[in-house]
Amino acid sequence: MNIKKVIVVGSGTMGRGIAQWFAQSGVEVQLCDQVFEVAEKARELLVSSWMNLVSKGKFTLDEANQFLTNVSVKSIEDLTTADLCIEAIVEDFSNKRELFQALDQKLDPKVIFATNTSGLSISSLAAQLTIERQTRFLGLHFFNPAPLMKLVEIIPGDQTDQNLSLSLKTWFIAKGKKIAVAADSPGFIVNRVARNFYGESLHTLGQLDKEKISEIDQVMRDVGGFKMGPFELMDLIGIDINYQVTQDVWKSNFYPDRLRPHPIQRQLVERRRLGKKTKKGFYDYD
Amino acid sequence: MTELILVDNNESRIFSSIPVISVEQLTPEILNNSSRILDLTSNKHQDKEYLINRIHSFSEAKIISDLSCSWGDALIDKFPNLTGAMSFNFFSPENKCECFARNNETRQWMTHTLQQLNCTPTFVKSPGLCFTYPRVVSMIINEAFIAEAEGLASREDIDTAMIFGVNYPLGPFAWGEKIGLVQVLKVLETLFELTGDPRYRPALTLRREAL
Repeated sequence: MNIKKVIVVGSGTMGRGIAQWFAQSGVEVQLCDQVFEVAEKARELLVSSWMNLVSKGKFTLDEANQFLTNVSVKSIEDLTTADLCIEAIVEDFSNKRELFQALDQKLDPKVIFATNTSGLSISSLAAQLTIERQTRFLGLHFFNPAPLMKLVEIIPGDQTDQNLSLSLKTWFIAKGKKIAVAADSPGFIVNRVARNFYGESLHTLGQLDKEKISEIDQVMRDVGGFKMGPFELMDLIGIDINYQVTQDVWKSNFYPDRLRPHPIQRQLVERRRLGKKTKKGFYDYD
Repeated sequence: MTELILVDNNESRIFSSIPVISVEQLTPEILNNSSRILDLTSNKHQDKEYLINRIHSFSEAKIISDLSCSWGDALIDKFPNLTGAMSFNFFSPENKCECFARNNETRQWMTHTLQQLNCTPTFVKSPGLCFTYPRVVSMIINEAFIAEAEGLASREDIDTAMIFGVNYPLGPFAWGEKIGLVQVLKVLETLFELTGDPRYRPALTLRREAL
C-alpha cells in the first residue's frame, strides 16, 4: 500500500497536526474545513510552525518549502480523489455521520475513510455508508500533537477489511509511527487504560488539599517516572475535558465502579476551575 | 544493640552492611538486642500488623517498615515505635520509593540506608493507604488486564499505546512484571478489603497469573 494523497477534513488543532504530519511524511494533503477561511488560517499556522522549526534547525528551508507545497486548501466541493480521507471535526456522532455520508457520495469507492474520533463507535459511524465503503472504513486515532506523538491507534470496524488494517499498520510504521490495534470499544486503549492515573490519584487525594495535590504530583513524577503528575496534567488538558472523557468511558462501559468519575472533578468544573485555560484548576496560575 | 534487616522467608536479596534475617529466624532474643529493624517483608495489612505487634511486644527497637500493601496511617497511629514507612518493595523505574519518617533522625537514617540499597527516598507527609504510587500504578495495571481479557487489544499493543500515546515510562504489562504481580495483587486486595470499594476488585486474569 502506498498513501500518496490524503484529505483531512477539519482544520482545528488535531486536523492541522495530522495534516502537518502527513505533509512532513511526503504525502499530498488537501486540507478542508466547514469554513474555508478556517482551513486557510490553518495553513498559515502550518507555515509559521515550519518556519519556527527551521529556525530551531529541525528542518532545512528547502524541506519546509516542500512540506508547504504538499498542503493545499480546498472546499469540500472541490476535493479531488485521494488514497485516504480522515475527518478530525467536532466530536459529535451526528456531525461525523453526515459528513461521511456526503463524502461517500462524492469520493471514489476506493478511497479509505478514517475517523480521528477518540471514542465514538467506528462500526456505528460506518453503518450508513455503502457496503464497499464500510470495508474501507476504520478509526485512525492520532495523539496531540500529531507531528510529535508517535502513537496511532488503528480501530477496525465490524466490516473493515482485515488486510486494509494490516497494510495501513505497515505503512504507518514505515513512516515512523507506533501502532496499537484496538477493538471498537469505548475509549479504545489509551483513554480507557489511563483513566485511573487520574481517578486513583483523586481517590488518594480524597478532598481538595493544595499540599497533598502537590505531593501526589511529585510522587508520581519522582517515584513513578511520569513526565507530569496527574493534577498538573489535568490542569493542562482541561479538567472539563478530562471529566467529560471520564464520564464517556464510564457510561459507555456500563458504569463500572473502577472507572467512575470523582466528585472533585465535578466540583471543579462547576466552579469553573478548569485548569490553565481559566488560570485556576488544581493549581492557581498567575 | 544492632540494626537488622528483616526479610520474607526465601528472600534472596543481599545487603552489604546491615545483617539480614528472615522472619522464621526471628527470636525474642534477637528482637531484644535490636535497636532498629528495617522490615522489608511484603505482607498485607493484617499480617504486617501481627508482625509489628510481635516485634513491639519483645522489643523497643525502632521499626521502619515497608507498608506498600498496608494501611500505613493506622499502623503509625497504633505503634509509636514504628518510626518510618516506605514503598521499597514496589519497583520504581526511577529507583526511588515513597517514604514517611516520624522524625528527622529516622529521615536521615532512612536516606542513608536506602542509598546503600540503591534507592532514593521521596518523603511524604503520611503513608495513607498503600502510599500513592503503588495504588495508582496497581489500578492502571489492573485496568490493562481487564481490557486485555475483554479483547480490547493485545498486551504488546496496550503497552505500546501507553508508552507512545501518553509517555508512560513503562507499559502496564511490563510494569507489572517488574513489580511482580503478587505485589500488585496484594495492593489491590488490601484496598478492596479495607475500603470495601468494588473499584479495587482485582482482574481474574491478574489473580491467576499472580498465583
